[in-house]
Amino acid sequence: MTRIDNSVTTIDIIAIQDVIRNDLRRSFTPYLMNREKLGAPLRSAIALHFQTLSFNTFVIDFTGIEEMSVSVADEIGPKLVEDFLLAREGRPEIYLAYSGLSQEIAREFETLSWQSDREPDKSLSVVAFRGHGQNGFHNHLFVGKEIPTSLTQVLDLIYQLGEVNSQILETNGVKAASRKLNELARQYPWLFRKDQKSLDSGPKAWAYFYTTVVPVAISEKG
Amino acid sequence: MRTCPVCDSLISHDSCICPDCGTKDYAWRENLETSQCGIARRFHRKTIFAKEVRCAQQSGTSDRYHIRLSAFSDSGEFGFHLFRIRSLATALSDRQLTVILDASSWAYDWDYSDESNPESDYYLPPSFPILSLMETSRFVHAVEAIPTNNIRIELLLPPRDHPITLFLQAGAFFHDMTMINCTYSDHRLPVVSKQGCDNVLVPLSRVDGSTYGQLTQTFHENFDALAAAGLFDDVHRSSIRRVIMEAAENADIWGNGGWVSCFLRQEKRGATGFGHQSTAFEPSRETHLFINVFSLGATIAGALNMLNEWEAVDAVTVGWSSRGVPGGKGIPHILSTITRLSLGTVFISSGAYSRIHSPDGLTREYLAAGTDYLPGVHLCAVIPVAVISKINPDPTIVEKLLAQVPQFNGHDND
Repeated sequence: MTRIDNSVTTIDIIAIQDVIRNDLRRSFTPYLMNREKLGAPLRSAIALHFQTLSFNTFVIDFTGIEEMSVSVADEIGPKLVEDFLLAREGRPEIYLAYSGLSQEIAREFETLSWQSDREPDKSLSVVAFRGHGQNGFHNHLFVGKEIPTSLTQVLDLIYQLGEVNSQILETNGVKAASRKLNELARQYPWLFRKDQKSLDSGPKAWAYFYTTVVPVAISEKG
Repeated sequence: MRTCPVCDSLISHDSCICPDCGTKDYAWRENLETSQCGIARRFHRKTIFAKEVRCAQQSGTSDRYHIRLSAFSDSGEFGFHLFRIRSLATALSDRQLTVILDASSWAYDWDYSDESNPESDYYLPPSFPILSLMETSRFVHAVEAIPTNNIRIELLLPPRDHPITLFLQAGAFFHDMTMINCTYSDHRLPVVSKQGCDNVLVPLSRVDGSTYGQLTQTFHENFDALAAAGLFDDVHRSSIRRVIMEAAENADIWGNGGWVSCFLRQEKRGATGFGHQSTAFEPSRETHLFINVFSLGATIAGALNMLNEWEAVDAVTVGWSSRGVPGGKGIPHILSTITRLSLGTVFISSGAYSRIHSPDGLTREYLAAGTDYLPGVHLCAVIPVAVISKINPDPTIVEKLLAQVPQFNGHDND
């Protein structure tokens, strides 16, 4: 596991191929299949790490994986995200992100049902990145149940600009920004951070700022 | 009443065993079972004959069981042989039983030896008996799985340097088997070179607990070479690989371990015989991809807890899979696309039941008692490379197909 500390949070990056090699003690091939023999044990091994998280963002790195069967994708997609949300109850300062997603893997995730088993009304999703470098994570996308377009627009701006508030959103053409931010915070609080920060206009002036769960690359901020 | 083919005694129509000499008429048993299943008009007589059964019984007394393999050896025939071998091995528990598999005639099925040119032959020849080869491999693995330790298999192959012998070795059809011993015939055959098929064969690979349910890295490397030889687009390479992965996963989960192999086979001769002399040769127009997966465990009905095989096969061809979730582009999607759009051939053999979805849009099904003796499932999908590009990547097709089948509405198990 790789750990990155910055001023806001600690980011733990764990590569799936390392979990297979080190935790499951098996040889790694880039083509993952079989729910019983790989998908479920892999999910359990990753979910164990959720128990030790506090004020961390946990990044699951898919680098090196070429293909997954639907059963494995189901285990380390919707089921793992549901495990994470369960672990997040009472610990709202922990976050999850996927990284190193190839187009094939992203397409595989798209074909799955991202409905929560515990709460059927809840839509599961997770922020994902194509990769990461020294400058941060790049090429974000949201994997999982489709998020309404109006909210996706706000989320995209958060991950393009790195940090927004309602005023910044409105200057970028988002209408009813406050309402949309509230809606996002109510429905998808694990997809971004919401921090209270003081403003320059006065000692008691403050506002909520919405930031990414991991540092994004400068090019992404565009 | 009927007469016994051995002693001419009269036998009741309801029985398949002669009351006098005890001979079991396997073909009549097949007929009886088919009638009981209510699909009498759909049964198919397998290539087992009473004479062969008698020969097998006679050779059994000398602790040697001789089987002559051919391009037409199939699961029905092998099922009867397996039944006999299992009985003999149990009866002769204190002596060794040698099963002789004479595959020397396979040399003649490779009938392009004179006109082959390794520089221009890309794929396996059209008459190459792939299905028979796979069934033979399934049979040999089933013999090896018989839980007595007094069986030895003698495999008599064509001459050591013959292309089919080299092919069998490259294909690993009898690889990793402890009780098998290979010998080579010394027919006076013309000296031929190996066909240029190195890149169009993915050797038989085992998927089970010992591989943690994964296909090996070597399998995937060979598959990449095959996809390159077949000029697959990346997107279709990915789809086909998922088909194979899911089929292998089903074999492992449902059948407690499975075997997988793939080939590209040219389906017609060029203008001057086998080989591609024409500069206008288009591999994709002349070639089929063969995906073969078999297991030795439960039948599909056994795995799905269904009463009969044809309903279980119905379920699989419309989308049921061991993965247990809908969506994706695995084997249910591709199989349903292939069968629905008549793009290729899908053959499924499970228990006594076999079904073929053929490109003419028809479905053929038959029961064969012999196949019932062979454990597990054999699935073969044959897809023309030319139509791989037509496979619709829309995953909702499976959902729509599932919705059309009343018993799967809502797909509780999905």
